[in-house]
Amino acid sequence: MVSRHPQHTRDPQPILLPEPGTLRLGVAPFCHGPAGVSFISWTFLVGASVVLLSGLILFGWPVIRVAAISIAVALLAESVFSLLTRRGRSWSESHALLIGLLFALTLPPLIDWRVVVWGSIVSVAVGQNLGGGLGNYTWHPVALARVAMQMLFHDQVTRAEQPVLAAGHLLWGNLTRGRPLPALQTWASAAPPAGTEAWIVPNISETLQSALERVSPSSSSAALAELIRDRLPPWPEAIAGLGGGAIGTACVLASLVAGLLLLWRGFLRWPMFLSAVLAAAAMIFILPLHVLSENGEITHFWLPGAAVWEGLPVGLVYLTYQLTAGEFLLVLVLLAPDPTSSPLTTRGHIRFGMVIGIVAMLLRIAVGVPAAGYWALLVANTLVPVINRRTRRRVFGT
Amino acid sequence: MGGISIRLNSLFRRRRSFRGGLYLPVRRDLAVPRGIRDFPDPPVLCVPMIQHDGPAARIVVQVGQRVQAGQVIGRGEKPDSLDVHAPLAGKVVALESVDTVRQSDVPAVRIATAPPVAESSEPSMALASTAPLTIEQLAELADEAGLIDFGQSATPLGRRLRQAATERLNDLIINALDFEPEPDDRNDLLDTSLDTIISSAVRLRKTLKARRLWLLVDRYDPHRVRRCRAAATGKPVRVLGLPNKYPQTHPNLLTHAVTGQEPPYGSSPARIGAFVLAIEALLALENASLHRRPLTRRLVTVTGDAVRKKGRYLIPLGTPFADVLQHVGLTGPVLRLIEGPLLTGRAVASVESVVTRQTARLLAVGRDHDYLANPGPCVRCGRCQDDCPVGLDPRALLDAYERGQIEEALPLWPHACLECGLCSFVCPAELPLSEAAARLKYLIPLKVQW
Ligand code: SF4
Ligand code: SF4
Repeated sequence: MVSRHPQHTRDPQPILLPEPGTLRLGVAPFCHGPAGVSFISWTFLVGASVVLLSGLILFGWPVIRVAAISIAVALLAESVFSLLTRRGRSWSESHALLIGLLFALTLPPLIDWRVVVWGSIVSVAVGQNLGGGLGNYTWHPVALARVAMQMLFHDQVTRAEQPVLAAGHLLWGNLTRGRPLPALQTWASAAPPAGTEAWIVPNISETLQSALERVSPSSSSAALAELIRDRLPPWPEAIAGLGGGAIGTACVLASLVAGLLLLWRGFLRWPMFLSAVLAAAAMIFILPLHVLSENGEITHFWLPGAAVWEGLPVGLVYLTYQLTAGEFLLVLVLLAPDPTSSPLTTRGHIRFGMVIGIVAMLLRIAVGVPAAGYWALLVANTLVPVINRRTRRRVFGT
Repeated sequence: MGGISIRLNSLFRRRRSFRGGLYLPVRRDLAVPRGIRDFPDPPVLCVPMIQHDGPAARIVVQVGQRVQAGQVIGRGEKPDSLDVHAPLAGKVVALESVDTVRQSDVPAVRIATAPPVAESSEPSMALASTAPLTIEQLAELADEAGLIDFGQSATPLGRRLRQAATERLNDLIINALDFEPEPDDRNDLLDTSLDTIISSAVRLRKTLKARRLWLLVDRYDPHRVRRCRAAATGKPVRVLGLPNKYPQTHPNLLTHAVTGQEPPYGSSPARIGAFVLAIEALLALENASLHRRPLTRRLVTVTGDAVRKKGRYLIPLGTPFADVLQHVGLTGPVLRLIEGPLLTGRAVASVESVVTRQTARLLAVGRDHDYLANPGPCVRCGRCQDDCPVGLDPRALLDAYERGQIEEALPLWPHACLECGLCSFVCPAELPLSEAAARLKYLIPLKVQW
């Protein structure tokens, strides 16, 4: 429609007003915040990819194998489900992709492919779809699948000794050409002999769990100091991932980078992270270590966090090792913030984090459950409805 | 344990803000140049008889009659109806009905504008006196001038003044915070008319017999806050810089920020002795009471990616949007025309709709900048609950609304909703949460709850 009042405008060109009936209607708001559902999935995916990359550097190509199988099976399972239920969603693929990738991160690099396939199917089919479907499941699908695999194939998923590529062979090395790291040597100081491309190192979590041997209870601190000095890698090596572990749990630094990304995007709520870490630290500080005394009795060494040996706070060192060992931080950063299986409000998230921290360390230290972090997440997921009910906000003016 | 944590919370609570809410991203693309730009008189006006929340005025002119600028053309005779004035001199060419953005088929007077005949006719209302006014007189003047509350609602200002008169007034709160960060109309007004604002606020305080007078400004620009403080020295005005977290400008939240008290559920700040007025309403009231000028033009901010000459224009009421767009020019096809802010405004159905007293902003959105919600299932992320400024559970409200279980919504306090639109804005699943909350509010009468 050309201008009705050409004399009214100083614009030399007549402007085109919208035709009647062509204006778009609808209700406010007419703009939207940055985060859509697929944006959430993709941000988590980027975070998970950072962690995957760290695994790739530490363990080489077997990581690609595990991730590829896991993701492919997850996508396949999701498509089958979408076909069966005819409710395909544009973002269900990116979510399945995320589930597949996250599940791969929880596995050791040299795992049997059948375990990967089963786990991936369980996470998508049982955890996500039978668990209530997208946006509705109670338990985090990945934690559920990981715990299921732990129970079915314990020896496959948790090993007392695990390989990590040696210096000079990172990324390209062959993980199967490994030999045990010589005693009293660190990853950085040991030079791999010809034909060796990887070191087989003891699992840090398991080492921390093992009883302090042949000490009289009075010198438990000394035994703890000895354990840390002789049987654990230096802490910087441990958090860089050189102490080995699962693809995603080895390198704590990568998890923290992913955490920063999610924090920046607002998907990881720092109060939750903080409350979980503080709760876990408190548990580690208090919960007793098992001590095997010289006469063969097992006694408890309470408050290990307070242990001091020759003026050194070995207890606090033990605490930092315990906090950064195993799956705990990966769970906190990439699994716990999942919107669907976490509480609604930030106050709820604080309690949620506390539950994860307490249960994870209780199971790990007091009960000795492997993969305690995943169990703790499942427990916390179960409590979400209760937490939601108890952290409902007071309505303004009531 | 719980008790301790609650007490600690209140210790650390920032009194001047509220829980939830969000600092909206600043839309620099919507910013407009400072000051008021010229708007030429349109050839034809179509002045609707309802431009507020209330019944229509009765048309008191006939076809063919000449009218002067400021002459009454519609008389508000029923309670809550307001007088309507001819914005410009001209001749009545038709009595018809027009669709405004909020209502359809509103009786209207079509005026072919013409330059005023000989003598200058500054629009003015009959009554004139310089004696101090009582609240009742002020309310009367506001009704005669056709003033409305320029905040989120369009209640007649006279009615609000009368309401305030029935309660003991402790705090008179003059709000200069902008509804959304851009365009910052109130900041602009503050920069150009600070002294007028302060002097008229002081006068209003006297009339309303309020104990304290507050001027709330955005804390973001410390220079402006300092300038306001300097202008207020020696006057009974307290200048308060507030962080403009959306939707801080809602009267209930402002009252809470100032007094620390919350208006009880379903009631307005008047219940706790507070009266909130936006600065544009204050200036209009000043115009009516001091200069006896009716409201015949509205300061409209025209912006949007499709607009060529963005700016603030003083537009006569009844100007068709088509003429507005014609004057400001377009950079391309308009896909959506929005009257009001992005988060709470309304989509305009036709460019034949006209500017009313409620039109504060007109946004023309082109093809590439429009947002169309694509709702999916809720992912239980909790953003809606966390960011809701009043602590509602919009998800549960939507659920109750969609299933038609209205009584389920009763314990969810729907009348606390401020209709701020924030829940829909943050929802990653793009669900129509605020719409459901607002609709429930109208489906459930307040007294059922009480
Ligand atoms: S529109 Fe209502 S329910 Fe939604 S955030 Fe605003 S106040 Fe809360
Ligand atoms: S913001 Fe949207 S997706 Fe998130 S809980 Fe609320 S309704 Fe569900």
